[in-house]
Amino acid sequence: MKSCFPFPEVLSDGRNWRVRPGRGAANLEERILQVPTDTSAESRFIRTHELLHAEMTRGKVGEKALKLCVGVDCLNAVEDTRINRFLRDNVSDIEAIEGGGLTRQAASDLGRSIAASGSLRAVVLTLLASSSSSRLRSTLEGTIRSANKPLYEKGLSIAGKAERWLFARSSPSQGWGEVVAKRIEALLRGEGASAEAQGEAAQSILRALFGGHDESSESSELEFKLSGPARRLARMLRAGVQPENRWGTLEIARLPLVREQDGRLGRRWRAAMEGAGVRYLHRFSIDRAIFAARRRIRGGSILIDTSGSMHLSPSDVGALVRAASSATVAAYSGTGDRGFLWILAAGGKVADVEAWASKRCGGNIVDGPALRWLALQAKPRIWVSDGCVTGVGDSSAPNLVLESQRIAASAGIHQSKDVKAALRMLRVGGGGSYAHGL
Amino acid sequence: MRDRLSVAIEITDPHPNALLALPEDLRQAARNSAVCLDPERRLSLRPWKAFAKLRELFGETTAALAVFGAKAKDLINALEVARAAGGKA
Repeated sequence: MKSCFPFPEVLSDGRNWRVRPGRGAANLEERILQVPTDTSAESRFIRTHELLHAEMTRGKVGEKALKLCVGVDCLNAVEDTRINRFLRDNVSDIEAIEGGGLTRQAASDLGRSIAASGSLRAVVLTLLASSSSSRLRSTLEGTIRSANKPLYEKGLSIAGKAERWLFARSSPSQGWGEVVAKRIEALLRGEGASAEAQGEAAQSILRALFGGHDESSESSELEFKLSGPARRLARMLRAGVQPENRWGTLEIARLPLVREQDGRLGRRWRAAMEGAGVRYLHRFSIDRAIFAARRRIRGGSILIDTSGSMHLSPSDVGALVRAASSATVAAYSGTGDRGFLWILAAGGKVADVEAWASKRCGGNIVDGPALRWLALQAKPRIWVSDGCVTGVGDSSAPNLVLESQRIAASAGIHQSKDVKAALRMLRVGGGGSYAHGL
Repeated sequence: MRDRLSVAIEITDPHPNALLALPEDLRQAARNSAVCLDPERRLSLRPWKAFAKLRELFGETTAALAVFGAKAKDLINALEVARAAGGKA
């Protein structure tokens, strides 16, 4: 079958883009588009959508979400809505646009699973993001309405309001989208919990953070004295971010470890000039290192956050697995209220990283449980993550940030913000410091 | 074959005169795709020249289908996106 690709070369900034097969993601920093390559209209929609991200979206969504105190899912949904409306208004490929990247069957399945979850947030954000694809939207609406009418009506009302906010400007900029995302987040949080309950939870976190200080009285002075993560937490609380969320349920998935770890670091023996057993007789005339001596094997454990905000390609993860020698390597990501942790390498054997790539999800959801798993593994422990931790619904909250920070600090986990830094850390034997940059 | 040639020069850009032979709206796309990092997607200037010539006679969609085959719809979408977003294509 012929492979199809997008044409980023046509864009105004069209140099040096790479295209890789995947489910649909745009890594703007490394200029990689991951897209399905079959000839269907659904895949063509995804390719054009990601192409538009390359043209119109700037910055890292995880960092923006933390800065703006909104959920990554909310920010993504608003940006997708903006992109999809631009696509509908300017591209003539009706067949692709109407379907919105999903077949009727896939759209029905999505609608049913959202209705079954009972999540108002998921209904609102999904209806919003699908607003420019009429076939997708009507299928989703029909399925959700028939499964859970009250949830549908509430979701439709909020999604309609959000759409009106976003398109109050004829061609909304990304900055305007961020303003609207904040409003939607506030609206969704207002629906989720009473202000009183949120206030109580906020106070309990502030007590834990500031040791009994009342943040409202001398907040700016305190913020100045606080370290990075605590300052960010204080900002989140001040901005009215939902103070509590919970982690999703973690499932540990064991993939078949199909091949031996290769490379110098994986070998158990090295040639030496003294020893008990002759193993490398051919070296006598070269360096006389004919004996076999046990190699000290670098172990340890690495946990890789493979959520969308990390923009990791399978080749990045593969590079880390290869470099990790005999360490235990696991990757995690999640969606909705569940997350998965896949063991990619253990005991000198590795899984097929390319095959794993199709299973990964877009959100974090289970950073805390995954860090607890890491805390039980061999030292040195390295966590490859941008620190944008989230719980159920891919929403961050101060209690989650605090908890992940505590787990990492108490278990001596070193945080590495990207693969390059992790590889550097591995080369120096897991050194580096625990980055307080959550 | 390569080892019979004692000098190898990497060409990082297509010849400017060759680009000038293309319509202005396709020059940037042709230049970028000639030096594309993915060998599978790299295109020489020939298909762009053929596309430019055919689209005058048969329109953009038919010309794209004739030259780029299964990739034609993606190309048309990309050209429309770039025009709308204010790119040069």
